[in-house]
Amino acid sequence: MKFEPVIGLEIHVELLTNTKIFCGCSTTFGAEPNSQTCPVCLGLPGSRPVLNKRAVEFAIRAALALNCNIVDYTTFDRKNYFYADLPKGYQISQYFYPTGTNGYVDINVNGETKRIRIHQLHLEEDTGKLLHVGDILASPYSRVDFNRAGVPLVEIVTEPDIKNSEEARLFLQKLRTILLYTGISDCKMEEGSMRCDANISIMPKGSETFGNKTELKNMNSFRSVQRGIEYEITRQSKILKSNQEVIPETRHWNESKGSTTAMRSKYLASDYRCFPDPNVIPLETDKDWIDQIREALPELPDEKQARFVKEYGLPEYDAEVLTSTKELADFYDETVTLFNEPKTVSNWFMGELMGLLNNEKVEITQCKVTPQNLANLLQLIDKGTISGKIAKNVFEEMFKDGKDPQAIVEEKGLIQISDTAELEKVVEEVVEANPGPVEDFKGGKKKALGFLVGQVMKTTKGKANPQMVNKILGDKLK
Amino acid sequence: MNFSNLTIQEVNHMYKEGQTTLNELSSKFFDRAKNVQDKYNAFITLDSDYYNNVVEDISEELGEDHSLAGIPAVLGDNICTKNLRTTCGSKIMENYISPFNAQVVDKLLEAGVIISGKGNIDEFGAGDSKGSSYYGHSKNPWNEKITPGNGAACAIASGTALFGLASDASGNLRQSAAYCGIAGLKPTYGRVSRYGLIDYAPSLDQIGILAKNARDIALVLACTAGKDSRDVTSLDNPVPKYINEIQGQLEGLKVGIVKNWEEAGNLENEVKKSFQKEIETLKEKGVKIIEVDIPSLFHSSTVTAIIGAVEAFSNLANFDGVRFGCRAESKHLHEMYIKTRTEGLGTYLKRFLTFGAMASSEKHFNSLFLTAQKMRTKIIKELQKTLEEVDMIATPTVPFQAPSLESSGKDEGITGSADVFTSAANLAGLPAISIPVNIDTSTPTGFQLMGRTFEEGTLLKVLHSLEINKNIQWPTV
Repeated sequence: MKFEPVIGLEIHVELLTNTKIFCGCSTTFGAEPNSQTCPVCLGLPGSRPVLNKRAVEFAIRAALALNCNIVDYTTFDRKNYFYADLPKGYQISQYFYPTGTNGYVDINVNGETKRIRIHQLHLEEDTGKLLHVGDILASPYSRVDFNRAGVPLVEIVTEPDIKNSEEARLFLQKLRTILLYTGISDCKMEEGSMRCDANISIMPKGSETFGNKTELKNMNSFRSVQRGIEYEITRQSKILKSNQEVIPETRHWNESKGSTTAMRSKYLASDYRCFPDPNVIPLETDKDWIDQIREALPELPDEKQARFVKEYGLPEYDAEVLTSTKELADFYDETVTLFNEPKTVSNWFMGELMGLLNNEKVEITQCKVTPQNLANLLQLIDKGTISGKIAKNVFEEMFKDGKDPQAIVEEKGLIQISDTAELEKVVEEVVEANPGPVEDFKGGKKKALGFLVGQVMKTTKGKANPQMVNKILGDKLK
Repeated sequence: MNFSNLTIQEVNHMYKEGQTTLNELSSKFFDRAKNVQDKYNAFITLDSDYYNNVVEDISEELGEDHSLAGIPAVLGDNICTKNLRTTCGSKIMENYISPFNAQVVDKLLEAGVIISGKGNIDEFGAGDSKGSSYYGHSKNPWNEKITPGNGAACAIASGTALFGLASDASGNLRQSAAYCGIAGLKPTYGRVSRYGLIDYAPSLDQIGILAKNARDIALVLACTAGKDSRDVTSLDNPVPKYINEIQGQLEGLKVGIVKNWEEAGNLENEVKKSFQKEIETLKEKGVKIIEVDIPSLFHSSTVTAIIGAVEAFSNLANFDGVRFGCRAESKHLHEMYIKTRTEGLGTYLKRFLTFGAMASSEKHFNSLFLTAQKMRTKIIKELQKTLEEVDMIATPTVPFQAPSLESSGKDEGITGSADVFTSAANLAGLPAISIPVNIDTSTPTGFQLMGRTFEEGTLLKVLHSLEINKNIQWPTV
């Protein structure tokens, strides 16, 4: 029997506000445990939450970027449960009126656009973190760090539109790109500022009844999301094939073992007794404010990609790669403004620039080459001052120390030889020194010309103008 | 010095005329508080070091008109004080010292008030003085066999403090005032900051004022009222000079009497008679008495109990032994929660919280919690409509006189019949005042007026007018 997986994702994203959602404590990651706490985020008796409007603004910005409808009235609700990392005994969340609903993200699956619907996006506070000695079960005690408690989060919930682990990865990457464009989060999975849970079920192909689902937690990278989902699909298929039933439960992904283990059953569903927090007054998000946020949104990846295709005439593939981060796209845009040959610029980006960035593990934001210097380099090629081949070496120099290409070219004497007399002299030498290949060429072996051109380039240390060398050699051997 | 009769105005006068000094008055009050503590148990904490430090820090000019400098006051023990423990009347908070002052405490200290100690309260302020404090019953200075309500009212009636601040979530403060023959004002929701109040029901709880007369309440309200950026439910309506608002005639004022007020459960004849007597006095003063219909009024006690219990179940979930308060020895987290809360919380409170958990569970959410919220909206609308017709609504404060201590602790239902007239003001966030009546008979009771939002001044004016010519013989201690 063939099975069809049905996957929905829940993604928690920490917002890049300076302070927490209900108090003035810093949200900086990695501080000494409990150094960024106060009576409010520690849930001390008598303290009161004061809503950080910036967090609401960020949530609205994210929801708009995901094409959601924005709620015009919202409450902040208490989700009640006991856990040591939850200081107040309840988490404040938007249970009744999420900030955004009915959105979508388009992903590119093998050249086809597939739409993943967003069920909702809501704002809530993060919990603290339990610290253990080694494994949780073996640890003699638990310690709690409340630095993270009260950091604003948005939770993004998709519809079950995802069909396999690859789509899940593509979706997550696209979502991350979009959110990074909006600047609401740094989306670092390794630091936990982006976390993903997956709801997974499988059903016989063509069936319309969903199977029992499991919720998979603790996947800390795109790779582990993909692996976890794959493992879970295989595990569930085996169960169904042996005529057993998948137990609805929360499962824990174990990265080192590459498998999942049961955490808690969903039959005993928690009752969170949600109700609006009387300490936080309901919020009306007026239309003007939403419009302001919408207008301040940057051009998002899909729009940018479409513009690159339309305005610059780039292939879809180039446009997709160049818009993969806002910084790269901005760099590209600026370079094209200074050197208006979009495809040439794109080739340099996709080839040289991104190659070096990847090899040297440098972010585009830290790149020493400026759009101006890159444009200058391309102009030097365009004017014939240096050859394309030499330019690649110059670019490597620029990448290393951020120098202007003109300066490098002058310093190293790399200016292309385009002087006919000088080139004719070199060609003569090469012809004399290589009678064999010359005979071959004259005998009809066209390939031999390439060899001779290569010899000229070698003699001039690559500086000879290749088009001219071709011409002079061709004339000479007629 | 006759402590029992003193008011803020009189103490100011004594300071001004040099009849006493800060050191003399403060030490006499503290000694007296300690001496009568055994008898009435008004205080949970009386700390001489704290007291002396507060007295030392007073830099305000003494004896100024309308000044609170050098005036001894008591705080309900669910109002946070730095350097002085805040127990909430609960074992779980036996040694808790808050790292911050409640906003009202900062304001009082700034004004030079002497905080003499922390008054006894029902555990977390929940209940109607049924004796659920871990620190024992307080006793009524008028009659040791009956309850005084909270310890703050007891302290004032026994002459160990001139005014007090305490919480009022369903009427506890006003009931205590009625039982002790003093006045009690629950201000409009948002009038006084709740920052630092350890409330059990944030949508109902307010910090109110207990004192002997309208003048004293007016001074304290002017000091404590106002917007606080740390409590978003506080409002920035201007704070009037209440001391001026209490003056003037009552002529032309319209007071509503609820059509079926006599149908309230447990209404005692004595209470009924004194209420009617007070209404007659108002009539004599030119007040227009109008019968009003508030059909849902008698549901307010039940509605308050349901909403209060649900909010309490959630609001008191932070008392888990993880970060503060008592923690029971246990092998793992789950056991720690159960043991800590089983040992740390009292029977009545646990029953109340359990009821709250039940009323908000998936199974009962619609039938109990949601229904109560709908009824709350209905009651608010009925009150608003009535207050378009009349300036205030009059009822007895409590349908009965202060219950005997022997009867308390028994028959602890979730809804309290003492709340029947008081809780509507909490549901609607309206200001309400309990005016002492019958104090000549040594079993005081109260007369309640509920007014429009932010019209505390008008309520105080009526109180002021009614207390003129009353010569009170305070109980001798």
